[in-house]
Formats: sequence, C-alpha cells, structure tokens
Amino acid sequence: MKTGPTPNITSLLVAWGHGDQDAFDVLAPLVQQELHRLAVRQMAGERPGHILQPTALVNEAYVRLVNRHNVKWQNRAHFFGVAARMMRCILVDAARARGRAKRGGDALQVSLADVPDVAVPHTQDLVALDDALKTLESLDPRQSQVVELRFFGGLSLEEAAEALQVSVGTVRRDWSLAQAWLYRELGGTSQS
Amino acid sequence: MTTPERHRQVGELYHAALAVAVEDRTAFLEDVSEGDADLLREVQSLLTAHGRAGRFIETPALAQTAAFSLSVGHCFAHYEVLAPLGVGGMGEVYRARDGKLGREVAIKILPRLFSTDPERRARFDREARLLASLNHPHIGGIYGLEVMDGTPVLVLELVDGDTLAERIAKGPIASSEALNIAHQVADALEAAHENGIVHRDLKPANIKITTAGVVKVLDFGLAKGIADLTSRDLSHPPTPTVNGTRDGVIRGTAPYMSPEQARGKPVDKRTDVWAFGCVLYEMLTGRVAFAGDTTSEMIAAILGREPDWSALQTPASLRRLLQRCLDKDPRRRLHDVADARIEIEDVISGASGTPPDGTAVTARRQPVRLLWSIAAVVATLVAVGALTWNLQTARQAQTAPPRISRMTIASSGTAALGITSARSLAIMPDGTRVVYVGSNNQIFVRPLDRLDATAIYTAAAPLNWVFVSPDGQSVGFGEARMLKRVALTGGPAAAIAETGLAIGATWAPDDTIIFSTSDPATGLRRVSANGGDVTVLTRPAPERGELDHLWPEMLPGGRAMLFTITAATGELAAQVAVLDLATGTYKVVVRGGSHAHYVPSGHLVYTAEGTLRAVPFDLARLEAGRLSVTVLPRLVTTQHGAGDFDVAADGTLAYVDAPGAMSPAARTLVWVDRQGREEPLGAPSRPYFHPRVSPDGARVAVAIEDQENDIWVWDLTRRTLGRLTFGLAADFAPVWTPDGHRLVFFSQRDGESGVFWQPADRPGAAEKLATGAPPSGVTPDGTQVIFGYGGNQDLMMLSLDGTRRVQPLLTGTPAVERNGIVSPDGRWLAYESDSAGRFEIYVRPFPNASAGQWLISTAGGTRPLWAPGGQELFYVAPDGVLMAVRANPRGDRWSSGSPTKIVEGPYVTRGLRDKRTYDVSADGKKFLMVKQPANQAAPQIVVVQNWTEELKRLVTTK
Repeated sequence: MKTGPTPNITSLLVAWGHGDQDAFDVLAPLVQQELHRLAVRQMAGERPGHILQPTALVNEAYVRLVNRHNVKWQNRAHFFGVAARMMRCILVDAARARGRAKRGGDALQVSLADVPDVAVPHTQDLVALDDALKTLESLDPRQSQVVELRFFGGLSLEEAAEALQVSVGTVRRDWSLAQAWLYRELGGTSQS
Repeated sequence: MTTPERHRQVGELYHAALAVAVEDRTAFLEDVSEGDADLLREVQSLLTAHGRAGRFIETPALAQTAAFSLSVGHCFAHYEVLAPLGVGGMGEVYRARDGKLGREVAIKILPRLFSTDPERRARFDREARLLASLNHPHIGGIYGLEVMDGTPVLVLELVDGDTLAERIAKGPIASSEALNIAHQVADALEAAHENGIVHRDLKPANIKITTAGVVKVLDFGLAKGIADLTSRDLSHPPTPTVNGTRDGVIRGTAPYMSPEQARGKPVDKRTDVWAFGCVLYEMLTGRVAFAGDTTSEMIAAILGREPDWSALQTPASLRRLLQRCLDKDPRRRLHDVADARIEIEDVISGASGTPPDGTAVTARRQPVRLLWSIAAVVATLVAVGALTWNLQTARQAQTAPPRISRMTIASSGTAALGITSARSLAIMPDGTRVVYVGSNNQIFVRPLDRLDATAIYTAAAPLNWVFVSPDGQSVGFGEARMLKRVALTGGPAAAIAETGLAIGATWAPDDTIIFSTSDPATGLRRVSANGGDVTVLTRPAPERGELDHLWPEMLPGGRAMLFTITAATGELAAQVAVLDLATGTYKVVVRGGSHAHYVPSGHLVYTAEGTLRAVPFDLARLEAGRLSVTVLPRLVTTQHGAGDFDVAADGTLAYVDAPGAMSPAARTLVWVDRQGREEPLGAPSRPYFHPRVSPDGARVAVAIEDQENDIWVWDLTRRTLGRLTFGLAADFAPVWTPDGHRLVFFSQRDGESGVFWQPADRPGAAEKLATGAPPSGVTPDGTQVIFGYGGNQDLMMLSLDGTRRVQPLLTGTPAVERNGIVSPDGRWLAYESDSAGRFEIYVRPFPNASAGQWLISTAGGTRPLWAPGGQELFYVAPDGVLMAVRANPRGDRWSSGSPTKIVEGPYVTRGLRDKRTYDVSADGKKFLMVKQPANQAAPQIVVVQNWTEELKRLVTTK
C-alpha cells in the first residue's frame, strides 16, 4: 500500500541503515536525481546568484522523498550521508564538465576561484579537492567521510557525529587533521 | 609512500602536539618522534598547515557558490548581518542587528528588481507599508523595506523557533497541540483578513512556533507584491484585476494552493481558508492533504481529488470543519476563518463533544493507525482541561519559564554612580541588593525592592574595586593601596592588608580573599578576610607571553577560580584561565577574552571588545565550549578587559551601561573641515583605525581592530562595508597605490611580519612583497613603497617594478625614523624622528635623503601627511591635535611656515600602532577622522533578573 510519495526510498534507507550496501546502490541514483533537480533549479533558474544552503536543500529533498513518520533520526542521519555523497558527485562532476567546457555556460558555477570570501586556495578547485579526498580515503576512510559530510553535505560537527555514529570529539579531531592534511596537499604549505 | 598505519601515527602525534603550547611543540615532537626525521617533518608540516588553514573548506561547498550573498559582518543602511538563517521561498534570510534601534531582526533579501517601473515599485512600497501596519501577536512583524544596490530587503521581526514544517517532520503532533497551533493561526488570519490582507501562501514552512509555544505566521501577503515587483515579463504590465497570479503563471507552493489559485484565477481570503484546511489536515494526519510526486500530479489532486478523509481520526465536528475548508468551490467553502476559530475553540472546550467518527475507524484496519488514533483521542480528552486554561492565558502571557525582567537603577547627586573604579558594582549572591560606588567615593547599597540607596562607607581615596562576601554580609573593596571590608549594614571599615593597588578581588567560601594588583610582577595573591599574611597563588610567566594575572572570580564550590592572563600584545591576546586551587595549576579556557564570570545556567560570560560574550561551560570538567555569543553588545570595559558587571549566584546580572562610552567599538568615520564641521561617512560603528581615502575619493580602506584584525573597504557611493583581507594574523596600515588598483598593507600572516599587497577590489589574494615593518607611503609615481624596518626604527624603500628590490632610505642613525611619506611632486620625504629627544616632524630631499634635513614641527609631532597639492604638510601634535604647516620650498632648500591647529575634537589620532589614523580628501579641504564619541549620557546600573533564561536561549549548552 502506498503511504507516501516514494515509500521505497524509506525502506531502502532503513535497509541501508542496517548495513545493506545493495540498498545504497539502488538508493543513490534516486537521491542523486532528486538533488540534482533541486540544485539545478535553485542555482540556475529564477534567482540568479542565489545562496544555496546545502542543509536546506537536503532537507527539502528529504521531506520530498521520505515518508517521514516511519524513519527515525538515525535513518535521517544516513540520509545526510547519502546526500553529502551525492552533493559531492554533483558538484565535482559539474566542475569537471566546466573544466572541459571552459566556461561553456554551465548552470552550476562551482569554480571557487571567482568567488569572493572563499576558504579554498585560489589555485585549487573542487576537482583537486576531490582527488585529494580520494587519497585521504585510502589512508583513513572516516576522515574523508567527515570532510564529505561537512564540506559537501553542509553538516555541523554534531550532525556529522550523528551520521557516523561516533562522538563529536572524534569528528572534531578527524576534521582538524583532515583539514590540515588537505590544506597541505592542495598546496597551502609544502611538505618539509 | 604513506600508509594508513603511518597516517595514523602522524595523526596521533599531530593531536598530541596540538595539546602542547606552541613554543614547546618542537621540543615535544623531537622528543617523541625518537629520531624519525621524516615523521617529525610530516607532523610539523601538518601543524604549519593547521596554523594557516584558517577557515579552509569550512564554508560548505554550495554556500560558497553564492555570488551575491552577504557575509557575516556585512553592513548596509544601519543593519549588520550576524548570521545566515537559511533560504526561504522568496529569498535568503539573515539574522541582523539594527544599529539604530539596537535590536536583532531578520532580513530577507528578495529577488533583484527586474523592473525599474516606478509605479510597480510604489505599489510594492505601499503594500509593504500596509503589511507593516499589521500588529498582531501571531503575525511575524514587518519592520520596513530597504533597498540595497537595487535589491529590495525586507526587515522582519526575528522569530526564533522551529517552523511547523520542521515540527511535522519530527513526528506526529498530538491533536491537542495541533488544535492549539491551528487556533493561533486562525487568529492571525482573522486579524489580517479584517485589514483586507490575504496571505496567499500559507503553509507549514511559513508558520513558526517559538520555544515558548507561541505561533507566528510569517510572510503575510508578500507573495503577491513580490510577484508583481520581480516579474521578468516587461511586455505584460501587471493587470490590476488579477491577483496572486499573472497571465496564467502559477505562484505559490503547490501542495497548499487553492483550486482557484492553481487555475490562475483571482484569489481572496477564501484561498487562505483552503490553505488553513490543508495545514490543519496535515497536522492532524501527518500527511499532505493533496500529495503527488510531481507538481502536476499535486495540482491534479487539488483540482480533482478529495483528501483521504479516513486518515482523519478526530471529532466529527472537526472533520466537517475541514471538509468545509477544503471545498473546491470557493462559493461553497467556509467564508470566514473566524468560523473555523470558533469551531476549534468549541472542540477544545468540549462543547461539541461528538465522539470520533466511528465509520472512519472501522473502515480501515490498520493497527498502527488505530492505536495512534485511540491515543490521540485519549490525549485530546485528557488535554482538554489543561488546554482550555492554556488558551485563555496563552493569548497574553505565555506560561513557560520564569520571566526575564530588566530594571535600571536611577540615582542622582552623591548617590549617582561613579565609574572611577575598574569594577564599580557588585551584586549580593541572592540577587537582592546591588552595591556600587557613588560619585563621591562612597559605597552605596541599593535593595532592589527599594527606591533609594544607602551609603555605608565614605572613602578617603578613590575606590579600586568592590566585591561581596559569599554570605552577603560584608562588602570588600580596594581603597588606595589597602584591601578593606565593611559590614553591609555600615559601620567602620576594617583594613585586611596592605596589598598594593588591588584591582580585582573575589571572596572565597573559605573566607579568604584572592586579589590581583596593578603591579604586573605579582600575579594572584591570597589573604584571609580577617587579615594576616599574603601568600602568592600564581606568578605570570613572561616567557609564555603572559603579562599579568588579573580579575579573579571564584567558581561555585570554591575549588577552582577563573582569572585573566593578559598579554603584552594587547587586549585581544588576553585569555581566561581556570585555576585549580588545590594544585595551583591552571589552564586556558577562553582565548581572546577577559574577566570571566560563571553563570549558573552553565555558561561563562566574559568581556571582549566592549561586549559581554557567553560560552557554555562544564563546571565538572572545567571546560568551555567553543562557540561564543555576544549577550550584551555594550559593556563598560577597562583597557585591561575588566568589565563593570557582576553575576549573583542566582544568575541575576548587574552591569553598568554607559551609552556612547569610550569603547573602541563605538568609533565612527567622519569628515571634518577646517571650521570643525563634521559630516559622518555613514559607515557603522567599529573599532576603526588607519583610514585611507582611495585616490579617486570613492572608497576608504580602513583597519578594524576586532577579533579578526582585518582591512575593510567602505564604499562611499554604495554605502557598503566589505572585508578585504582575511586570515588569522592582524592586517593593518593600508596604503593605496596611486592608480587606486591595489592596497599595500602590513600583516603577520606569514609567521614573520611583512609588507603585502593585493587588489583593492578582490578579497583574498594577498602577495608578500617584503619582510619588515608597516608601510607608510607609496611614491606618487607608484614605483616605491616606503616602509619601516628593524623594529620600525629605519626607513626602507621597496621597488614595485617586479624586482621587489629593497634598499635603505634612512638607516644607521641611533634614533627612530618612521612614518616616511613622499611629497606629491616626488621631491621631499617627510617623517618623524626622536633624534632630538622627542618625536618631531622632519623633511629631507627625496630620494637623496642625506642631502639635507629640516625640522618642521615646533613642539613635537608624529604621523606626517602631505596635502594633495603638496602645499601643506599635516601632522599630529603630542596632545592629539591635527596641525598644518605651509610648505614653501625654494629650489633645493626647504622652508615652511609655523604650525597652526586645524582639527581638534573627540578624534582618535594617537596610539594605534604608531601609524597615521587620519587622512585628507582629494581637494585638501576635509579631513577623514576616526571619531571616538564622548561619554554623553550618564552611566546607569542595569539589573537583569532571571537572566539565565535568556542565556539558555542564546547559547545552548550540552
């Protein structure tokens, strides 16, 4: 029986929350599709230069996708995990496409070099960050996840801790090291 | 190649090193890396990266793509952005401070104006004014409409709390609560409809529920006005008869749209009745009344389908109400939301106590839903009594936490507050009495339930500090070099000890007094409240950059104590530490703050930059949270960070409020002409220094001495203040290049101090030019920067031609030469030097500085500046007055007239890192000054009772 707009996402989330990796594979394209639609609509369309709060965006996606009464916060946290991964894919893909197209009128403006008030070195962009994150993932998967949740998912330390089911202190430590490590890898400071 | 194992090892050392003081890290790492040079290098490079990373990747990726969004600290008109709140249906929303009215507001940036049609603008203005006239407890207020760079900005009442959408997302709402919310929403709609205002976009996301349970409906009537204002379609001017939608374009939020709205037909208050029905249905059932995966499916449902009535487990009367609200034909729909309100009141009071619709319950056999519905009915019945009472009282006063009350203590004559001592008041632990220093060196006691104050002691010398004993029976104070006490009831004072100039003292539960003095060598000391030997508790450690230990304040329990470690490098480097009285060890809990006090709500409050801030504080572990919030924007604070405030053990706050006091944060930028006429630039109050007008006169670069210590640019035409430099280090002493494209400035960002530059129109992107002291000028041809060197004792020249060659300009003398600046014709160098014992202004030929020297000032002078035409030289006299000297060079010989005063007043011209803190307009007629407002209004004592409630709301503790 259909109880909400897309109940299968709910059950997929629950399954994924219980460790079913196959569920993630089914879930991912659904979430990605929805987020992409939202991102493009919000960033390209009616409001030029509009701020986009990832959390608000994800919340909107969440409210749309999930039959909220059957999902506990734990699943919501997992949802944020998925959403952050999706957000990363969307943004990095767009950045790559943009690199290829050389400013070919891409709707998603993700190069950080043109944006004032950014906290990413000017010579770097999302593609380089994405590559560095992959290296970090091979060294410490959780540190990489923390960056994904915070930078791409817009989560706070507390929310990231919830999503990873570790303490806030652990997330804070992971974040500190990952931040320094990425800063160095992206050429902020050279090694030795 | 790094392996996960190696990475883990590096990580452990990295975290261990971070816990060690910076200066000890190298030794620590050498010790623990056990000769593994690679490991040591790896960790050190990460620590360096950590030090420089700043806010690297801390702003989420998507938030960074916003090209027009406002950053925190952004100012327009008299508003300052404090924090982004999110994105609403119609625009970005920020928390902001209204500098004029001193209150926090929400500002909503609306879509840019696509139309410059004045008629359309005027109509929107009229609507905004009409909406602003709505004043209702359940309607979020509209305070005004501003336009920022062509973008309309609404100033709104700041409502903290969850939206109903968030509330619904959290889980089912008990029907009693749902009715309570619906009742308040109906009340708001009714009031608006009576004023002829239709909301048009009512939905759970537009309904806020404050922490006290008050419902506020937001964004009244804005949908239409904004739609009109921002329509791109210029070829079709709006038709006055069409409301809410234009030319078949559907506006509104799909699931809550009425059928007539979805069809693009004119709408009236019955559209709000429909949306009200949708919201109530959703609250009661937990599901959207008209659902669909796509907008078109939703619209199809709105136009053609009935909601699932079986999901509604409510009294029959409520169901009938919902059916009437959700009638697709507006002529058959409930016409007046007042009828809905009355119906809800009846349900709440049980007047229409029809049992729940039985058919609905039996028609479906879902155990979960049935259970919930039974629970809901029971809850409704149980809640009826309480709710009836609640509704009656809730409309005026909300039940909820103790009421916060503020009072000012007005006093006059000798009983008037005299703020001569570092802390001139104290509050009794039970919060019933305030003790303060009067204008005549008297100590007064003012019970809060009385109108008059009683003098209990008259001192022979100015008082340094007042504090009270834990039992509330005695008042301690510093008088000249003695620490004394007097009974609360008056009588003779008893000397406790000769302490030196005691500034800062706290009375411990074991009847000892811990105090600090004005002598930096002493640190914290302790003496019995009955006199006796003074023992040393702490000594400042200069090798760790500690200047002094000041402002002791006991923590509850008496086992530990807060105090402030001041630093030689200024107030911003001060730290709050907690001292374990049993072991004598201390640790830092707050950086960049002074004079902390514990509040029983689980917070520390402390002073910083003339404000009072709060952080969560764990009393058991003696650890502070990281996120601080300003809880008092204005507090009288001494140069060394002592705040004129006290917090009672019951959480009552007493503080001295002095409007326009000598706080650096109150500084403003003004033009002053030679007749002393003042004209504000309009930039908000900030701790400004080193203002510099751009060569084209359109912008002012200025350093701001706050936590960030960065350089900002005030745009005189757009009237915006934007931050130009970033980073953890202090940036100051900006100098424009003659083409106005770049700013040369001083920074310590690279670990060592140096001269940097960067484009004046683009934040970030600074490039280091040379190591040295602050720059003071760029030659008129733009080829050389004049800057200080060798501890700012010599003058050097730096080529801007790409070679970055540094050459001496004026070096090798035993005296200090600084603030060198070249005349507009490029032939003369003016500077200040103490070669004759005090600083005077001199002129030498440029660039051959050894070819002559002439004394310009007659009674001391610093910070020279040339008039734009070179016909005059300005400087600051030792008393802070701005002087002018007429320049009459003849050939290679300098000659000048005698100095005359040109600007005198409440302007900051001295201090501030020895650099020039004034400038001159391009026409040489006006001077750009940093104004420090004089203390005009009499200071007064403010007492806030149940202040802990406010703190709990402002700063969440875990």
